Amino acid sequence: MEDLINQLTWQVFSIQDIVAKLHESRYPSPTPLKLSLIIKNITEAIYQNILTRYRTLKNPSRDLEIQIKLAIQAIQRLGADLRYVERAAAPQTSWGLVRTLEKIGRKLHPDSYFIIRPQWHYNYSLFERLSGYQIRFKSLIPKKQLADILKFESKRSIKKLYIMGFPYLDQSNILKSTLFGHELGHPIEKEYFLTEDTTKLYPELYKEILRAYDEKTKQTKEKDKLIQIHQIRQMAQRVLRFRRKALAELISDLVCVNLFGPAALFAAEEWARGLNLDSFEKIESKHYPPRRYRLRLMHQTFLPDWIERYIDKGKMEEKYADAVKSKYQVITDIVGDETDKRLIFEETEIGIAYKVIERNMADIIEFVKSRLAKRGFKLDNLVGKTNQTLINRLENWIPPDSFLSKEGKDIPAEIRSILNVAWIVYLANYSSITKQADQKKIYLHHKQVEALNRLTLKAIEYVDIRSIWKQREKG
Amino acid sequence: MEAREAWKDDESMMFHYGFLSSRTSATLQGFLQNRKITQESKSLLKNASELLDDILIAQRLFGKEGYSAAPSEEELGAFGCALDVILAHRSEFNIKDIEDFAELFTTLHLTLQQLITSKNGRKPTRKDVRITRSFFSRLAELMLSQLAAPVEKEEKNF
Repeated sequence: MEDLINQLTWQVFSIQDIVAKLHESRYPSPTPLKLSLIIKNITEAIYQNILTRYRTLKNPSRDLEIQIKLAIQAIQRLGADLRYVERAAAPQTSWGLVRTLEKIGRKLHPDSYFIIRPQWHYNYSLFERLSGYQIRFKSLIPKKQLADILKFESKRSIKKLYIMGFPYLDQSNILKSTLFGHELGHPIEKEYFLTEDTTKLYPELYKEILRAYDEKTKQTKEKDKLIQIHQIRQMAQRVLRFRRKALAELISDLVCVNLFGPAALFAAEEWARGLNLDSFEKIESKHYPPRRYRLRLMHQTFLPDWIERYIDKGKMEEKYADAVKSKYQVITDIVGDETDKRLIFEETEIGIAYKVIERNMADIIEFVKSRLAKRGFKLDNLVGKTNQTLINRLENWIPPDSFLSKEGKDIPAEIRSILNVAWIVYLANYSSITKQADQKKIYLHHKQVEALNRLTLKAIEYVDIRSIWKQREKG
Repeated sequence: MEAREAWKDDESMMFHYGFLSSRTSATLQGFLQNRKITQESKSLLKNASELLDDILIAQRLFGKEGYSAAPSEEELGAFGCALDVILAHRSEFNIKDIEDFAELFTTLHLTLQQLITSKNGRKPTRKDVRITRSFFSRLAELMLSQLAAPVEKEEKNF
């Protein structure tokens, strides 16, 4: 057991050293360093708890040996979490975008904090860390000590600390940042599950599962009753997991599209283009809904008359109106094909999960809209604010950070409108490269898209600076 | 079939069950040696008792109540862990079917309740404390083996 304690000690001191080094970098907000301190303090609390038990031990104990080994595993994982802090350092991320996304995040999820950092893997992601730490260590670290470690400002505990990731490859692709809307949706899908009424839902689900098991094992039923139970339990767990994972993604997609409007739909379609639209992506034993299925749900958010209003109230000229309608039609055609649904319902367990999902979808859509509206986010707010004035600015290489109202007043644009305008200009001018384009034209095209992204980012940063200046003026 | 079972993806719960079980096992060992339970230990045993509550709720799905028992995912996960322990040590726990399972876990639950509430009340038998300890010790070993096993992580896409 001494060597285990040595190993544990080494890890604890290593984490202290790494945290000290991380304090030498600059960050867009205090949150990354706070996470590093939480990790350091939890590590020290684990260590002290284990050491106290070790010192009072009279005889060797397998129970304590297991606790030390669990503690070693836990501290290794805590150490790995420090990578999120390191990658959040200032030169890696655009301050303006980070701060703006944090503001949207805090508005949607009060008492939450965010770390936004790039990752090499081509992926947008969000997960919450503190609830995991609370669950992991509640049987090891005393309640009050753990609560004190998790305090952000001196009086309040942090409720949630979200770590968001985006691909390095998309660092300059500001148009794709609408996909963050999906990630900001994940806390909302978790809320949905907490408020869900399972009293009718679960008996239905289990009834179908038991029926499916009997059907599946008609010819080859396991004789050992305990093994039978084991198989049923596994099947039930899989169905519940399919349902939960599918809903998690679908609810997050609904949040994304209600937050960022057509820009979110266009970004999702562009992402899906490089993938198989109908297959289930299997990641770590979870099945993600087919891309086509997800696009269909997002597409359904915009009835044709909404798109017409979006264009009309924005007073969009023909070139831009056509670009929006044309892209919308492309997606309409994609989701018109129902291969994905056929494949879903061909699989017994996945079919059970999706049958229940589709039955409750109307309620789920209402839940999302109402949840967003409570925090001031309505899809209709984009109508009129995504307008030709902003489009004209961008077409003239001016950041679209504000527009003049009818009365001549300067109105700052919102990030949601800025991103929509950027997408419209992109679709109207740059969304494809012709076969005839030579290398020079391709390079020029790339540079123009790069410039479009930079101007969009600039607009977002100006809006951020404006709001800081306004706050300081108020005192 | 999944490469890893659903409950095995939830590392936080595995750590929680691991620490809870190993400490519960140590506490019960202490009781076997000196017939004492401290106030702090009672708090731990309450958490362990809640875990057994979840297991007992979920096992009703396989009994007379059937689908109307409708356990939550967490309860089903706890049941899954317990079942894995039982299946790995069947002869030790002498479980043939769900009725035996329910009887065993009712005994474990009662044992903990007696330890939590004991002052001048009924104390559990040494046999019951030993078997309770054995379950939690095995559960801790299972959690450790799952957490220590290398997992090839597939990355999530948006």
